[in-house]
Amino acid sequence: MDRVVTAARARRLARVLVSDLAAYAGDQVRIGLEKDDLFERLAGEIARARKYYLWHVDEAIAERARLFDFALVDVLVYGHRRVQTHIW
Amino acid sequence: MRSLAEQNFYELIEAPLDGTPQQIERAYRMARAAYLPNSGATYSLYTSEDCAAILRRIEEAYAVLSDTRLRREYDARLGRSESAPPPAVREARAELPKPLEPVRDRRAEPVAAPQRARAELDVENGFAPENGVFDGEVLRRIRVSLGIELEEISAITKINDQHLRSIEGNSYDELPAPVYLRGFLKQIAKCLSLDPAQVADSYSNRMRESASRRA
Repeated sequence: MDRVVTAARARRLARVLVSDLAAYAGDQVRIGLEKDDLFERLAGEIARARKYYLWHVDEAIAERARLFDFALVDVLVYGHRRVQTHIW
Repeated sequence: MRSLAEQNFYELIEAPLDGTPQQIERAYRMARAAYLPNSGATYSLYTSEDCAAILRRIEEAYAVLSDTRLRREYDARLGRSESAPPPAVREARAELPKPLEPVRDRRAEPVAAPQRARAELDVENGFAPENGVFDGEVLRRIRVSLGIELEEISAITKINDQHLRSIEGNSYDELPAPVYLRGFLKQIAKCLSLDPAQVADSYSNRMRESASRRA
């Protein structure tokens, strides 16, 4: 895969990776939100996705790490905002 | 990053400056799908008014870039070199087979580690399939490298996302009947700008090999 050198593509890659993570995790996202242990429950998958992301995204992109974190919150948390949980 | 208003039409739909009409068409469809109402890609990033405005701009971009004459004028305004080959030549070039990736000699390499979990992407693996074999993992790597979400493929092809996960996961027992599977594989290949027949043949062969090994 080509090196990602623009913030727009980095953001896109982060969203795709986190979205894939959620798609392949099945019910684990919902259960993680219900039990308030989402990031511990998916720690391994998140770490692997982050590793893949950082491997391919150029270090020159200033917001590199934050873009991945934004995608995590956006896709895993906000994307499942209708889950019934005591968190909100 | 430049704001949407500052982006040129190519940046807006994330199409290459020297893209063929097919690439422009594909980029347009992907960009449009991302900003349609209820799109999973942008649901929390933009308001519906923002999305409507962006969609209008995407339509405007496509109207220009899909028209040879308007595109040439637009390119000139962007200050692009006129030495670029005409679209017909670029199209012909795009049809040429890509050079094969060098095959790695694995004889001297250490014994392979235990197989990865199905959903895990191999960090160091490249874009091109080895020996031209398209299995689910290769299709997934290509999709991710193109920045396309599974649900976007599902939205475009109307293939159930469970089927898509089974195809990418090489979960042969969970796949639909072969006649449907072949159609699904061709649609996925088109979304990824791959040769539909090659992908369908390669995947089916891989599936048969797996079945014969288990028999």
